[in-house]
Amino acid sequence: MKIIELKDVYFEYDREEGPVLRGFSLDVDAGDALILQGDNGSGKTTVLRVVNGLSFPGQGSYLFRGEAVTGDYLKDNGRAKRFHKAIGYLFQNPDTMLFNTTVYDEIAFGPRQMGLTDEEVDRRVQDLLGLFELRDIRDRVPYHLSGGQKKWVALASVMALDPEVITLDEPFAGLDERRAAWLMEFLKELKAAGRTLIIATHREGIAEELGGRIRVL
Amino acid sequence: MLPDWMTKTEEYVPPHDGGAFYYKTLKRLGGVLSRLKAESGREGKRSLPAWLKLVVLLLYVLFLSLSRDRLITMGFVASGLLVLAMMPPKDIWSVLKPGFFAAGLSAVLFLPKVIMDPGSFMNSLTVVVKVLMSVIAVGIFNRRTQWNHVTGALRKFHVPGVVIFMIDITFRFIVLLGNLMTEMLTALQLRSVGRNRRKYDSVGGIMGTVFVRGAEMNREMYEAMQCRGFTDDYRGL
Repeated sequence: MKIIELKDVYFEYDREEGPVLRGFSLDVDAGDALILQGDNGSGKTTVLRVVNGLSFPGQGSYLFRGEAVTGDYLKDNGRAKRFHKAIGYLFQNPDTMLFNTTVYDEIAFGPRQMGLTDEEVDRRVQDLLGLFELRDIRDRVPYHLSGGQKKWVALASVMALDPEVITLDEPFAGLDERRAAWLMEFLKELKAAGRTLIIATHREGIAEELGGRIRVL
Repeated sequence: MLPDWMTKTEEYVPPHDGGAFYYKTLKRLGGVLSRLKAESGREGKRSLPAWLKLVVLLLYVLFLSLSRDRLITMGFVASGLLVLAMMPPKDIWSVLKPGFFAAGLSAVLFLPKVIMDPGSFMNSLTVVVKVLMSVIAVGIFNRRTQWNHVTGALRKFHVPGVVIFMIDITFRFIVLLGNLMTEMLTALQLRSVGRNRRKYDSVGGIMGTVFVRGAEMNREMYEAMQCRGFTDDYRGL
């Protein structure tokens, strides 16, 4: 079943610079692992922004589960919440994602916005603190953490929404080998659990390890 | 491939330039940031809970401003100074500085009144002392309480989550933009070998970049919040 369909997408940030995406099309089935590769500035992040409903194509269309995602579509709060709950986005720069006072509150932000009960929020946060080995720093201020820890907190806060599709922008950048290996195993588990993965990365060998496919921009 | 001049060793003797401008600016900025960033090590193991300190601070400032008896006012002054005296010397000076500034400012404001009515000198002096002690009390609280504990205390008093969130975001942006400015100034200092006659142009460029980056960060953070289900309807902590 197709979960994401981009059809003939044109997108430009600046008219003078021309379109970043020119007639770009993409199909992603549920449970797929898609690796986006390409040179710097080739449009990998732009594709992820479009998929996450943060930018909208100038021409062409974006369908999520068969429904066209447009600015008007996401103006409805209920629809926007359902959409963003279904797709998680790990930004390239984790600093962008960390704005709460403690690691605990950072992870709890998404579930709270979903309107879950305090018990359910706490259960999810505790599980993720354990999974990402963040228990010791649960009361620390996120933006004072090291780069690797920030990335872990950002990823945990994405996973707290339990999204069906997980989009990751350069998830391996800035990680040491131990963390990178752990992340690879985590992604394999997500794939095995039927989650859809879209990963923009320069790292080689990810598609082979995940049993996914590569799309070069 | 390399241009010719890159392959030769360059003998360079820079013209004299103290470099004090960058050094002073960086030092001042670094001082402010380190105060804001102080996350750990401020509170002792036996420190009072932040909410209790906040209550004590509010009551201290309230009763100090309401006290009419000079003896009681002096009691407040003595207790405040006693707490201050127990702090490390470098902290004492950083608490006293804004206190002296505020007291000096209020003294200037009272000066015309004292000149026209010398009999009001003691009353004016009492107000100036009250201002001094209030600012010192806030400074002691600030020095002795971690920021995330302060927001925790505000939550305990049922301050709306969105208010705490906005305070916290403001605080975070000051630190992040301050860090960015420090890094850019350091990079500028490292590249400014020799005499730089256009220091203020460079600093103007840095200020502009920090402003633009601040706007970008604001947009990016809002998008990150949207991606986690935020729809302008904040659900409190």
